[in-house]
Amino acid sequence: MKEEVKNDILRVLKGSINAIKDNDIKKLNDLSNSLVESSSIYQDENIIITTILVYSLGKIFERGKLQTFKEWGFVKKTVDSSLRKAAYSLENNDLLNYEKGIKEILSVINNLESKLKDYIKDILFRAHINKASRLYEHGLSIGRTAELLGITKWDLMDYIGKTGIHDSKENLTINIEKRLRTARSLFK
Amino acid sequence: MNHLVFDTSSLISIVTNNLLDILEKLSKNFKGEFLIAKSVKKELIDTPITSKKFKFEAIQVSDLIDRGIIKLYKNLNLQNKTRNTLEIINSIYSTEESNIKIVDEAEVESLVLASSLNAVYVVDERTLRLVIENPKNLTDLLERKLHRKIKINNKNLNLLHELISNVKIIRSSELVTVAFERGLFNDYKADKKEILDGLLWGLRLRGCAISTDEINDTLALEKLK
Repeated sequence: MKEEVKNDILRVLKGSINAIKDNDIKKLNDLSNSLVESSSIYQDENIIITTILVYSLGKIFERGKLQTFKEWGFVKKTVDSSLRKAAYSLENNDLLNYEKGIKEILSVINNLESKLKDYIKDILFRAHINKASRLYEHGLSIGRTAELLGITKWDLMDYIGKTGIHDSKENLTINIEKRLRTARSLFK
Repeated sequence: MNHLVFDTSSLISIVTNNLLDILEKLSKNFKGEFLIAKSVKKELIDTPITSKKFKFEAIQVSDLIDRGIIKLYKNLNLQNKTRNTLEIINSIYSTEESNIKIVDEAEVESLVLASSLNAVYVVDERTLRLVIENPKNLTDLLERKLHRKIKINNKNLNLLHELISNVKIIRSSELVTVAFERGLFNDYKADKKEILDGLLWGLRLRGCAISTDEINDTLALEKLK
């Protein structure tokens, strides 16, 4: 793992631990957003997973309804301890235990038995799409973005179509009249 | 002979707007063939047909292939050229830290197929279109969004443009506009301007990289506004 990537992830993990302790949802969202540029440049799996995870945590902690489930306390405790474990391991260049810490969070969610699991899995799926759209917004293609985030082009196109991404000034290349001429010339 | 090579993105826009039948109608006035590359079939049919969400759309596209309206191109082995072109494109843009890999193999395979057949490339995705038509715009976008100086490998950019200089690009929106001009939506009694506006916005909202200004320009060109 590159040093810049490691430092970026570490900053966000430590910030997330504090944000969760302070119940600061906005900070979790800001921390996740702060990784989008690095995700676009380095395209490192670890940084992308961290971006998605922290964004998802923001959404999970935002929903008061989830906190009424009896397993909530266990989930919250595991998130906190696993983030601490991941941060500590990464700081000490122990990549194996860092990855274990991150995977622990996902594994706890997968092993939940109640509706809480469905809610959180839905949040995680939506987080993948949301972050993919941000990478596309930053210049990567639909295909490259879908490949990096492990989603389909179908899901990604459905989402980005509803954003204003395609109104950016850089999107314009050939004028519409010329492009239409090309299209018309095919069907004479 | 002209051919149209469709990228995954353009067919997704068309099928999710329930517009596949226009391809059949347009094909009657088309001297060439509507083609897709192998990787596009995988993304459009083989993968979604195993899921619930886009299964029916995949079945609809599959039906068009079964009926020969869209043909799966198998004759050329594009693998080496695709990998070579992918490597070239993904090393054009870089920051001080790293090359930025901007496209994936399936997108490039379609581009290479279009170039090899001297075909028109139908692509709704934005990034690859920018690299081909105005690479400076992509530099500006990357610099604006990544807040860094972007370096261009001009040698690779020139090499790419030599490889694909013959490729012309249209989007699903131009194809649908031509279908509109040819009267394929005349059965609808609604106001013509509203029909075209609805068609173009439908494509845009399902991912076609056409801007609001371009939609308005199209409506103006059709003398509907």
